[in-house]
Amino acid sequence: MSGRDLEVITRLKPEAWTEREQQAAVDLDRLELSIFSHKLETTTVECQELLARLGASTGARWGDSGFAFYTAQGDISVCSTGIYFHAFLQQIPIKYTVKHWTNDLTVGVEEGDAFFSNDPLYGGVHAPDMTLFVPVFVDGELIAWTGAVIHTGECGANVPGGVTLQARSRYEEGLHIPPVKVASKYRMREDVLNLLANGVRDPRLLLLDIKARLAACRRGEERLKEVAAERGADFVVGALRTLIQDATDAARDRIAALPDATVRQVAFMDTVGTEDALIKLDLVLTKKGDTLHCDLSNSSPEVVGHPANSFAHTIIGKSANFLCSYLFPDLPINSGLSDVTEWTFRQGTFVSPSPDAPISLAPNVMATFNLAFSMACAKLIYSQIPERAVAPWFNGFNMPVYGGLNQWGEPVGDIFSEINGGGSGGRPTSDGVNVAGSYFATLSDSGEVEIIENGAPVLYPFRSQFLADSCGHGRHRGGAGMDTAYMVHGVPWVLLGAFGFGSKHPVSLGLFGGYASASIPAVRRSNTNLLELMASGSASVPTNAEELIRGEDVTGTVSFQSVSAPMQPSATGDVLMVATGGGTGYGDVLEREPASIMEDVRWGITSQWAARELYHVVFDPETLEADEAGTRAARDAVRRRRLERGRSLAEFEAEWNERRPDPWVTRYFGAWPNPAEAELPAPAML
Amino acid sequence: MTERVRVTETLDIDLDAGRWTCNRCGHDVGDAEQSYKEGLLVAERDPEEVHPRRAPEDSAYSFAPDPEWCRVLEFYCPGCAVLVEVEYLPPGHPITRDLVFDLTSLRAAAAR
Ligand SMILES: [Zn+2]
Repeated sequence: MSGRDLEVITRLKPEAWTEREQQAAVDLDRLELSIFSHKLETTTVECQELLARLGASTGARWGDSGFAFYTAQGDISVCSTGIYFHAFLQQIPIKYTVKHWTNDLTVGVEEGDAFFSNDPLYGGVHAPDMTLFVPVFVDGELIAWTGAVIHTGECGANVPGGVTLQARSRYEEGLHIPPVKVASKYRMREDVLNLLANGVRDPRLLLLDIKARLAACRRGEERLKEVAAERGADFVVGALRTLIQDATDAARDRIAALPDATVRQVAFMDTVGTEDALIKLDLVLTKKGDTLHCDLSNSSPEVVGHPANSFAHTIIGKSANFLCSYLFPDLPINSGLSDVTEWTFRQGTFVSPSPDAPISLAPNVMATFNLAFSMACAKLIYSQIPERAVAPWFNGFNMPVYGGLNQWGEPVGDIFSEINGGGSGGRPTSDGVNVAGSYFATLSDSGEVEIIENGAPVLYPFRSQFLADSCGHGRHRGGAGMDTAYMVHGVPWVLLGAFGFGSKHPVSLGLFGGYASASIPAVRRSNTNLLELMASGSASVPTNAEELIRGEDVTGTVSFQSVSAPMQPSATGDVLMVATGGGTGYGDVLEREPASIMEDVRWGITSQWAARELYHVVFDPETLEADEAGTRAARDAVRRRRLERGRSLAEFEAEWNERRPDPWVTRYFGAWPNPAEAELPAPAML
Repeated sequence: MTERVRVTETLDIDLDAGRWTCNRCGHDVGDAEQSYKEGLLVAERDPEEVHPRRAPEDSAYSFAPDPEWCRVLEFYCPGCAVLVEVEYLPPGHPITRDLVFDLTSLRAAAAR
């Protein structure tokens, strides 16, 4: 039966074993299971590689994608390490299909079918996250599913490029396709593809990505059928379900080994898309026995009329990020891992909004949750597994978006890929990694400039390695982020903007005394003469943001704005600078070795200002040699100042608790300081 | 011989005494059933002291957190002044009691 289904979206955990699965698993050989698991893992990597080779979008080519094998019930069993949360969330459209279409006489699920979905209510994060999945049949029995997901930029929203900052409701966010059959009898339905392509500005992108997903799914289907032919369908059915149970059992053991504790962490989002505003996410993480319980009920209300919300299941999916990366990196990546988590949401908050809420900026909300969850988990696990208690990576987006006609006259709309060049967080024994990648996309790539310039109407004035002080400083600093600028080129104008958050309040916080990474804005320099400077071989061609902002030979006006920057028409020569953030700091800055700090200054990772004012190193600004004795004395003086200015908590709080931000800043916050203390407004449909 | 478990970069819990302890200098940081912040010194800093401002004075965005939106709270060991924790909060937002262990369970986990 068709219609909205709010039950299926709660089913991220493994379904109960079916009788069929139980019988199939009875005589399972553990050695054979291990070989099977390895074969499927390598196949998922092969299939993700197919997405990169065949897909057209930035997401496909640079790794914002995922591929997985699912049981016949739709539980994820084996997945590529692309984007953990996509893999987890893609269970929902499959479970929807199993529930609604299997026994529907007008639809049905048969060998050779393929289904498409991009409705965030059913497991995409937002409308650009599109998925395709196919049933795997052996001897007429549905034994499994394969599925592929890619963030395909343009999705027909009220602005090009897929990530709208301006949506007031779900109905301004573009296509919302619940699971629909796009192929049958191994042939694509041209009328359905035509319907989908008709709803977006860049049909070529949409169609090529759909075909890339289908190719990957078919490859997975083929490989799974090879195993079934060799070992029998029973083996495949039993093995896929057993791998999930193994993950559950191992995850429970690992959680049980940690001490029971309650860890609290607040995190703040500082934009609703088109306006700065403070929104609070409040996490109470309670670890008891073999369970992690997350309570988010004291979080801000649903943001009405702006897309700064995320569905609860999307938040749950996001927990896969820290779980797979740090808590269970050695366990099979599947839905069994989610069995150890329990959740409390308050309906009507921005982390559990009404089904009609706009959510295109859900990535910001998920990142806010990820910040709180990864900080809380790091504090929880330090006593047992300190090497995994890592300060957060760059936790934001800083993702430029473009749309319009490119230099070939083709309609285009997509994101840029430099998000995949963020810094990782400081670690208990070492610094974070510079330009490490994206914290949520472990197989991603920051992209080749020449390839990007070939299809997008921009020229990169520079994409230097490091933005100075982009990282959080500490005993072990975060990895540096990447310094990038985009100039409109080859077209009269194009729409250019960015999404992200953290320009007012930090998006990435440090651990155990480490500092946050920089609050990066979007910087525009319009109407520049960069092309003339380049053509003349001028020495004034800027090579980094600092030179571009301050360059005296560069014409045009500079403006700083939030990194959540609505798209605006930008003409040839206009430049947008959006740097990728660095990872955050770990531990006390005064414990960092002066020689390491000077090395960072030489590399342009740390400014001389930070070396002097933050790390309190005494050094020669010409030779960059540190004075060890002078530094010791300077740091001792800083420690004395800390003791002088520090007050007891009670004394401090007596004054502190009387203050509050300007009411305008907290207009979407809910009751200050605890949103849980007030009734929530009734949901609105706009 | 008291049993001490290292639970953060700079803090141990002395399981026998039930006390937070600075692992840099041995200073007693208070009852382990309460927040360790009760036993530390706290100071407020303007975020621009910690994050360099890289924009003109009149710009609302600068690469540093906005001082009207965000304050940096630093927590120091009263014994050796090591920076134990940093919290970035909007002005007046309650300070988080972030970490409370079940000591019986911590003892059992430490024994494993
Ligand atoms: Zn101390």
